Amino acid sequence: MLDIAPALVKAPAVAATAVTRRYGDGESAVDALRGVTLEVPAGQFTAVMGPSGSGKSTLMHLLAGLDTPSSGTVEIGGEDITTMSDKQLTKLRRKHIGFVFQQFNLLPTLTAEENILLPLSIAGRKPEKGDLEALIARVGLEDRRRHRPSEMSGGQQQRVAIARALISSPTVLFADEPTGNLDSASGGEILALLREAVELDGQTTLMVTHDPRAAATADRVVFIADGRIVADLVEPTEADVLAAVKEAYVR
Amino acid sequence: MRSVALKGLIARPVRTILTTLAIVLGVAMVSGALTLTDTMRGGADGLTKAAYDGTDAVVAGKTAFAVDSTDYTTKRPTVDASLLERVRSVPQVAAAVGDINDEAKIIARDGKPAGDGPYFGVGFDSREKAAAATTPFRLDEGRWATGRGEVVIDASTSEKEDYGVGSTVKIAAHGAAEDFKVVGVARFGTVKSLGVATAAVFDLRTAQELFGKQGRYDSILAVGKDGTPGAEVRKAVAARVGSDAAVMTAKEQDRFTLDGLKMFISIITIVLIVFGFVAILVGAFTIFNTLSITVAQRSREFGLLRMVGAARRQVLGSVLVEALTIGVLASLIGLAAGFGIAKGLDAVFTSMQIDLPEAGMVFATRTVVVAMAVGVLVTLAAGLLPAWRATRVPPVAALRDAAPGSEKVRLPARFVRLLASVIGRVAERVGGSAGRLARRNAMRSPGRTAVTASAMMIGVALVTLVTVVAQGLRDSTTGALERRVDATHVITGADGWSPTDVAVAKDLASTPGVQGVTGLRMDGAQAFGDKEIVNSVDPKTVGGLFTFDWADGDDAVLTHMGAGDAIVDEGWAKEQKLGVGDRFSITSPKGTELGLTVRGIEESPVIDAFALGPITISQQAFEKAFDSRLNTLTFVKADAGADLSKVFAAHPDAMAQTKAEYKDQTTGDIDSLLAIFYVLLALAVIVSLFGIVNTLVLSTFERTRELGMLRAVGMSRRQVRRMVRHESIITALIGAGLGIATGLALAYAVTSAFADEGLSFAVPAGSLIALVVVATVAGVLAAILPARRASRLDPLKALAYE
Repeated sequence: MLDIAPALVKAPAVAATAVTRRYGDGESAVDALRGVTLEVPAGQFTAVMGPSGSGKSTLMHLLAGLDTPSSGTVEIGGEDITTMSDKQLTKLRRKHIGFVFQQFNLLPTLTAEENILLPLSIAGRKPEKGDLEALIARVGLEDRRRHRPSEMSGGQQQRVAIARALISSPTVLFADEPTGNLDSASGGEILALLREAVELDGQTTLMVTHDPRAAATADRVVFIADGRIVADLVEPTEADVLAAVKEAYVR
Repeated sequence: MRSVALKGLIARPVRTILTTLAIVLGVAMVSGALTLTDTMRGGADGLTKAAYDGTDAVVAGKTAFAVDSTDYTTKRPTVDASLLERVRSVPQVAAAVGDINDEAKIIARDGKPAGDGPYFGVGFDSREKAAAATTPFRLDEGRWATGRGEVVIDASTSEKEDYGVGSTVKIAAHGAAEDFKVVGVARFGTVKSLGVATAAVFDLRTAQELFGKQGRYDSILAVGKDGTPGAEVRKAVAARVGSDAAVMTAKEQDRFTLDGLKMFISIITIVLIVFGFVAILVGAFTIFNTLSITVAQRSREFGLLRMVGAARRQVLGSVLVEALTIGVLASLIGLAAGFGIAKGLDAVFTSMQIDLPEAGMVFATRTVVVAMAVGVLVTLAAGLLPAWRATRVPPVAALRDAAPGSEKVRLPARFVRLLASVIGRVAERVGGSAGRLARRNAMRSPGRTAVTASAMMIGVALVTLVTVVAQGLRDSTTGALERRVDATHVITGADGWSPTDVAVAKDLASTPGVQGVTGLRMDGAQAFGDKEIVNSVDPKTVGGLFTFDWADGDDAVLTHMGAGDAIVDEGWAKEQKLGVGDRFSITSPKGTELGLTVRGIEESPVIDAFALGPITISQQAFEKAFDSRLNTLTFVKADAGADLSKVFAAHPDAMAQTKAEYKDQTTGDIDSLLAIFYVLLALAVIVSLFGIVNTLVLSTFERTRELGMLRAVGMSRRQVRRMVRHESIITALIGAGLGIATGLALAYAVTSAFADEGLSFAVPAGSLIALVVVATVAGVLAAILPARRASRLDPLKALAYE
C-alpha cells in the first residue's frame, strides 16, 4: 500500500495541510499549532526553527505520525497518515521514517553495529550486501562497530544514530535537535553527514533545531512562532537565518 | 528483536539473578519434594518386594468387611492352627507355615521401649523350609530362636542398644516384660530395620504363648510349587479352606504395614509441594514487580523500538521472551537445587534413623516436566501484564525523559500510600531528613510498594492464620481435657500413644492409694456400610474419671450403659440421621453383629484430644464382638501419696503421666506440627525478601540522578543508606501489617466456621509482635545490598547518568 518509489512520485515527500493541534480543552486549552500548511519536496533538506513553545516540536511529532492533529491532514509519500491504525503506522515507520534524537537514544546493551541494524532486525530484514559496510564507512565507525554506547563519545553515538536512521533508506528522515547535545566540532560532523545524505542519496530530511549554524546547512528554513509559520527562507546564509531569528523571536 | 530482550538480561546480571532466585526456590521445593519422595517410594517398593515376594498365598482370618493394614485400630481375627494341614494338602502348594505377627516391645537400656513403633513381635518356625522363603528377616549373625527364652532382634536395635548375640533383653509382649536371650541379629530385607520400627522374632510356639494365641495363627503363609502362578495357588487354597478363612496376597495382607510407610511418604510429598507452590506464588509477585518496574524504566527504550518500526506484538514478545528466559533459567537452577534439597532432606531422615534401603536418587521425568512447567508457566503468567503495558508505550516516549511514577494510582495502591504515610511518620521521627525522604519514596509509586509488600503479605498472612488456628486448637484441646478428665494420671504406652495391655490397668487397680481405674479401648467396625472406629468404656469404673461433652444426655447415660447401648458423636449422628432412642447396628471384623440403641450424643470437637471414634459402646459388648485386649487410654485416680512405680517396673512398655503432663504432651503434638509449618512458611518470607531487595535495587537505579543530586547537596553516605533502609522497613511493615490483618480475618472465618465444634478465636499477641519484629529485621536485611549500592554512587557520575 505504501510501496512507493519516491522518484516516480510527483507528490511531496511530506505534506501538512491546515494542521492544528490543541492540547486539553475548555479554558485551560493550549493551541500548539494554529493552522500550518507545509510541503517538503522529495530530496529537500528542510530545517524548522522557532523559540521554545513555538510549536516546532509538535509539528515534527505530527509530521512523523507520533501525534494526531486536531484538524487538518498530514501525508507522507502521498498517503494520509492521520487516520492510520497502529499497525499501519508501524509499517510506515519501518519503511518510510527515520529518526535521529537529541539524546541519541541508543540501546545501551547493543553494540554500535547491532544498534544500526536494529530497525532491519525488527522488521525481520537483512541488510543488502555491502550496504552496511558502506554506511559504517560513511559515518566513520569502522573501528567502533563492536563498541557499546557507553564506550563511545557523544559524536560517535550520534553517528551511530544517523546510520541507524539511514539503514532502511526512509522516505523522510526526521532529526530532532541532532546537534543539541554535542560540542561544535562533533555537531559540525553530524551536519556534514546529514548534508551528505541529501547530496548523495537525495535523502528528504526535516530537522528541528535551535542552532542558526545548523539551520544554515539546510536547503530551506521554516520559522515557527506561536503555532504559525512566520517565515520561509530558501537556501539562506547564516546571516539570513540570524536576521530571521531576530525577527521571529522578537514578535 | 528477541536478542534485544536477551542482551538486556545479560547486561543486568544482578537484576536477573535476584529475579530468578525467587522462582528458583519455589521450583527447588517442588522438584526436591518429588525427587525425595520418589526416592523414598523406590525404597519402600524395594522393601515390599523383599517382604512379600516369596509368599504366593496368605490364609488369614475372615473379616466382615475390608481391612487394610493402615488402620491400626482394626484387628484381623486369627485362624485355627488345624487349617495349616489343609493348606499343605493342596497340590499346588509346595510348603506352608503358620505365622504370628503381633506387637512386642524390646526394652532399651534406659528402661523404656526401643524405637518409636511399630513394634513387630513375630513368630518364626525355623524348622519349616517355607519359613525362610516367606520371611523378610535375614540373619546377620547367630541363629534363629528355637525355644522359650530366646529371641532374634533387628540389627538396628541391636546396634543402637548394644544388644549383641548372647546378651539378655527384656521384652514386653502382652503382660509383664520377660527376659530373653538374644541368639541372633537379623535385617529386614536389606535394611537394618524399618524406619523407627523394632522387631523381635521368636520361635513360633513361644510367640503363640506370649500373645495368647495357643493353637492359632495370625496367618498361614504358603509357597506355590515351582512354575505355578500365584493366582492359581490362591485359587486352589481358597477352594480348600472354603468359608473358614480368607485367602489373599501378602501385599494385600501387608502384615508389616508398609502401606503406612507409603502413606507417610505421600503426606510428605503433599506438604512439601504445597509449600513449593506458596513459594512459587510469592516468587510470581517478585517477577511481576520486577518486570513492571523495568518496563516503566525502559519506556524510552520501548518508545525507540516502536519508533524504528517495532510492532506492538514484537514489544510484547520481547518482554515475554525476557520472562520466558527467566522462567527457564530459574526452573533449571531450581531443578538442580531441588536435587540438592532432596539429598539434604534424605540425610536429615537418615540422621533421624528413618533408614530406607539405598535405591539411589530417583530423578523421574515427571519431576523435570512438572517443575519446569510450573516454573516457566508461572513466570510467563507474571510477565503478561507488564508485557501488555510495554505495548502501550507510545513511540513518542522515545523523545521524552523517562518519567515513571506518573502511572495512574488505583484504589489498593492509594490505600498502601496511606499506610506508607502512616508508618513513614515513625521513620521521619527516627531518621530525620533521610527518614522523610524514605517515607516519600515509599509513597511515590504506591503500586510498586503495594506489589512488593503483597509478596511479604502472603507469607505473613499464612503464618498468622496457622498461629491463630493452632492457638484455638490448643485452647480447645486443653479445655476438653480439663472438662472431660477427672483423673490424676493418664496411662499410655511408653511412646505416649500406643495402647497398653489390660493387665496394666488390673495391676494399678490393686495398688494401695488408687481410688479408681478405667480403660478406654478401640477397634474398627462397620456401620452403615462404612468403617468406623468404635470405643468402649467400662460403665462400672468410668464414673468420676472420664466423661463426654454432652450434646444430648448426661453422665448417668455413661454409668448406666448396657450391652445394647451406644453413645455417638454429634457430627456422625447428624450424618446418619440418628437421635436418642434410634437403633442401628455395627459389625466387627470377625463378623459379630451388635444391635445398638442411641442413649446419648456427645459433641464432636474439631480435633478430638483423645482421638476417639464416633461410636462408644460398653466394655461388655466390646469384649463380645472384638478381640482387642488393649486399653488405648487408661485413667487413674490416685491419692497424692500412692506409689505407682511398682506397676511400671513390671510393665516398662507402659507409662503414667499426670494430667498436666498429658495435657502438655497433647498440645506439644500441635506445637511440633506448627514448627514444621513455620519452617516451610519461612521459605515464603525469604522469597518475598528477594522481592524487596529487587524493588529497592531497581528504584535506586531509577533514582540515580536524584541520589547524585542529594549527595551533591551534602547528603552523607550514611544518610543515603538510612534512606534506603527506612524505605525497606516501611515496605516490609506494610506487608506484615496487611498480612497480619488478612491472616486474622481468615483465621476468624475458619474459627467461627468451627465455633460449634469448640474452636475459639484468640489473638496470639506475643506471636504477632514477634512477626512484626521479624518483618522489621527482614526489611533491614533486604536493604543491605541496595543501600550499599546507592551510597557508593559517585555524585558526578550520578549526575551524568541518563
